[in-house]
Amino acid sequence: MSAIYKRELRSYFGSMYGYIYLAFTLLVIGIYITTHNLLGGTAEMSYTFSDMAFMSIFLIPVLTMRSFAEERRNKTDMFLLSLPIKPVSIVLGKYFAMLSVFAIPVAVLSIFGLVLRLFSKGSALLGSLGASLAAGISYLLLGALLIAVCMLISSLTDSVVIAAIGGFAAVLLLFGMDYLVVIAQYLDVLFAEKAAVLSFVGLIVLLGLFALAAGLLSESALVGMITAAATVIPLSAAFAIWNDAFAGLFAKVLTRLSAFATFSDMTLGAFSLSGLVFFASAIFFSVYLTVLMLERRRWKS
Amino acid sequence: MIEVKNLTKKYGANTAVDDVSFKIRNGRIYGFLGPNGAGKSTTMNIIAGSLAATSGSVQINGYDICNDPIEAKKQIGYLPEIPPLYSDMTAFEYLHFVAEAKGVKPARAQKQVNEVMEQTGIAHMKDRLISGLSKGYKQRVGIAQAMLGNPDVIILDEPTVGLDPQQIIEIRELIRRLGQTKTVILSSHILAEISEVCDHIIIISRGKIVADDTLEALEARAGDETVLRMTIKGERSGILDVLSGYPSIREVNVLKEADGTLELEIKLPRGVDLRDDLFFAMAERRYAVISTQQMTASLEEVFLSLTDRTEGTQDKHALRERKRREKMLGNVKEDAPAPEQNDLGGDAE
Repeated sequence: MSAIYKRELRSYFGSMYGYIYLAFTLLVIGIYITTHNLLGGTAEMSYTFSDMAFMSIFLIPVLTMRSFAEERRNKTDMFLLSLPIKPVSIVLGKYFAMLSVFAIPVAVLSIFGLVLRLFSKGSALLGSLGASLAAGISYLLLGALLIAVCMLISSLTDSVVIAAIGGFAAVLLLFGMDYLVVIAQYLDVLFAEKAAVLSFVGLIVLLGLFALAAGLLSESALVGMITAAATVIPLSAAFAIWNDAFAGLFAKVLTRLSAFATFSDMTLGAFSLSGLVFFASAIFFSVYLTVLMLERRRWKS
Repeated sequence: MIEVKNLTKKYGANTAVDDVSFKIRNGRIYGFLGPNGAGKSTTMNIIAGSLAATSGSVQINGYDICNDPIEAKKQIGYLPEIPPLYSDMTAFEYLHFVAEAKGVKPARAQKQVNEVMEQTGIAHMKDRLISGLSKGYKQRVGIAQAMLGNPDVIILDEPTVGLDPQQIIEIRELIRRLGQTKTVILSSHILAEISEVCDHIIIISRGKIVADDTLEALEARAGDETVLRMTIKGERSGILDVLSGYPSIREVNVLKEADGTLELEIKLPRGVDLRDDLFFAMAERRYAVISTQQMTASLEEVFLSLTDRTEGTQDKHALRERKRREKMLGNVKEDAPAPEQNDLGGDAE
């Protein structure tokens, strides 16, 4: 794993690629530090990290687009598979390399925060250390999740451009889930007596998308249909029995599944174990799928 | 030793490798020969572990590639058809990465990288970016990479494709040197190349093995036959009737029939010369022998006949295939230059 990790890091900083990524990210950080902290007059970093999370919609796909797509294009992925390394080590080596590159600007931002704290000691500008720490850790977790998702998308294609656009679309979709929650909650209020049905329909659509993704990833219509059946049938049964419990359920489920909502909760004062578990399991799931995709290259191609 | 048993690889309805079994013994250079699309690369990819077989097993020094992939892969160095290079690294960095990835201890990695660079003649190019190397040097970096980790077996998939004649000679020389200490498996669709460097030849066609023998044995097989090519003017049935009177004739093929002229290929055991007899026999029936040419079958013909045989009797298709392949072999002859100029330098762009 360490060989892959080192090679990946070298490929970031052996070319302009890594430096351009860093330069752009640091520029954004500079702008946010100036507007939020210097002009805003606070050493607390929660809002800075919150806005960085928005910027990561654009930054993460660029960071991850090459990871597997380029290997596939150069056919070096087959070579990696012929080396005495486990596929999971290949994926983790790449993943940790991307995490490391991602962590560099976060470290810089944290140093900024520390310096600001030193200068605002004893004043009202100091803000809460806990809030800043929570925001920093949450931002790292969010980044780690987005990197894992975009890495998975990069492993599905042999075009770097498609990997970037696909990654962007996926991250945007995750980001948009927050707005979907708001819309769902609004509809629940608007059609209060039909809220349970609305919620049920929403959940069916969600599971349908999940089944579609499963079918596409496995390239098997059967897997997609089995997934759909295995999820939709129990849900329908549950709806038939506990009809009332469904009111507002869709919005709740979406909130639970939303990476950005979890991130906002955790940065703005509700740092929670359940949030940690959410990020950890979502990261694990994405990395695991990437390993499966890499191993599938041994069967197809 | 590599033992391949009943290996099959299917892509949907398409069978690329069909129930292939063979053994690779230590300390020889093996040639894996077959026309394009015969399943060479697929077989090699499966042996190297970068492709999974539909069924069958591959054991390398007793390690199964499926059940014990890490140990099995340590026994092999593999150069795929397209050299797996990272163009953003220098040759040295790349080799260092591969050594580390193959689990060579850091203390020994440096030494080993220097050794393989010396052996493949790329030491003076080590600090160049791979993207700036010529095709010949890229291929050598690829071979150097395969040698790292000191594997017992080195698998090279079409290592000379796309190289100029000078580079081909150099790579061949390198393979010969490698063969002195290691087992080398070399795939190619070029017979001349295989027969020049390999001790043992496995011929594959349409996913099946059609020959698995030493070079000498294959040559002997080729050599026990004499082919007589005759062009005779006359009636087809009459001519064939005359020929059927000679029991020593093994096979008669009509190559062409036009304007009452037959072009025949007559296969005879070696040492039998029927030219005089046939001439007078034909003359007696008033068939004019226009030309006679006697040839001893070469390895090439064995290759062609072996790879043709599996293609069934779809005449038109077989003929086209044969023509294509003859053309290919013809090209090869032109490609292979005199092995005199053996200068390793002056290769970079």
